[in-house]
Amino acid sequence: MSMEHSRSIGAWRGVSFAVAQIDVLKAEDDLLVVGMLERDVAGGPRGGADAVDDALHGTLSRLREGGIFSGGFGETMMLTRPPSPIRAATLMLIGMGASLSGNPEAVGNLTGLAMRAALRIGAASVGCLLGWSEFEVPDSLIAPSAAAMMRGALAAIDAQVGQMAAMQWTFDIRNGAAVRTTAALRNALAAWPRAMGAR
Amino acid sequence: MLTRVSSGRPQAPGTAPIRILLADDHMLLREGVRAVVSTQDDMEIVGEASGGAEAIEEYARLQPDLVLMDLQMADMSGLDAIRAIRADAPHARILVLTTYSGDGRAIKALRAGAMGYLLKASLRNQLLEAIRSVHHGGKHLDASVATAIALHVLDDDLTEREVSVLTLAAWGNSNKQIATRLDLSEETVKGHMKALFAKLGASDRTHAVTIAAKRGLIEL
Repeated sequence: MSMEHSRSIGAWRGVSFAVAQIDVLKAEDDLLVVGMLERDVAGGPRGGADAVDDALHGTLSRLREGGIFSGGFGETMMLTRPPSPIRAATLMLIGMGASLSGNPEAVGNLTGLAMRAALRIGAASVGCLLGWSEFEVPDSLIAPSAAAMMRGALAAIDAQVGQMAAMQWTFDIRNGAAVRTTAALRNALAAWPRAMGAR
Repeated sequence: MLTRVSSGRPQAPGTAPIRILLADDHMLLREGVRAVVSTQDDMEIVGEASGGAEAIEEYARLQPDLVLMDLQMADMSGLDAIRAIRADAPHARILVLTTYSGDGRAIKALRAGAMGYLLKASLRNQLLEAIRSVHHGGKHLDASVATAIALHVLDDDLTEREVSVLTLAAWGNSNKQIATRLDLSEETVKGHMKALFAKLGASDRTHAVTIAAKRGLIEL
């Protein structure tokens, strides 16, 4: 795994969480999770899939344009053995629908989807670039969105039955609000045992 | 005798294993896949078929959670079997397991409703991951196949007539012979040839046949 300034933010049931600016060309994770919208906005950000798509010479965009992967909300596609320069063992595309703006719970649900897939394949290291924060998330929803992501991941872990192998999970924070995002992720993780106890 | 080795993969109480129907005309392949699957607690082979028609019958009889489908089978192609199964069971989850890496068959299979496309050269763990992904409703592709698909998925498809013309050309027929076989004029055959050369980016008929065979656009 190659991350710029990776920082640990805690652990839960064998999953160690970190935040970093993930370099998709250097990441050697078992699983690299990228989000894709149903369509690109002209001149706008293209989500976590942007750098991966460029590295693969537009493969992801053409799969979407050709209807093989639509980018519909919650749609997933696993691509095993991606070619160079991608070093991750498997790419997981997650459809983000038309937009994730202003919907923290939707981001949390997609993160849960990614965590369940990672647990299912026994991934030891995961880089998560859902790309939610690149979009027009209102400033007031940045922290709630980050917290929802962490809760989505934690709920998926808790739903797993039996023992789990150790996993390193890294959230990408290349979003211009890295400090607040990191704090929200860390706080949601710290609050999880109390939240569970209260239920 | 096979020894069942536990995968150690926990199952939720009451969660039944993934019930798999395996369709492939090679017994050795079926035995190999069965051996791999038998090491896993969360999946089982519940039926086998050695052809497309049998796969359709067995699907209807067994109602499996997932079908592992070969494409090249003697009596009926896997592609036709996928179409037939999905026509009766639109939510059937089908994972293609094939030797063909060309985009042509992959695009057809995915558009026919297959949710995954895996090469027989894949590793054991990749097969198991693909089974689990597809069972959970996701799509799963070998990335080399995805790359091949991406290169051509936006191209114009060859028409049925163009495929017929090129297939006959592949067997050494002249334009005149093709015209006779298909009850067309020779000029019409030349027109189809010109169109398919353009679609394939081919410089001559040999080149066109080579490209089409490699991409799985024609059956030889």
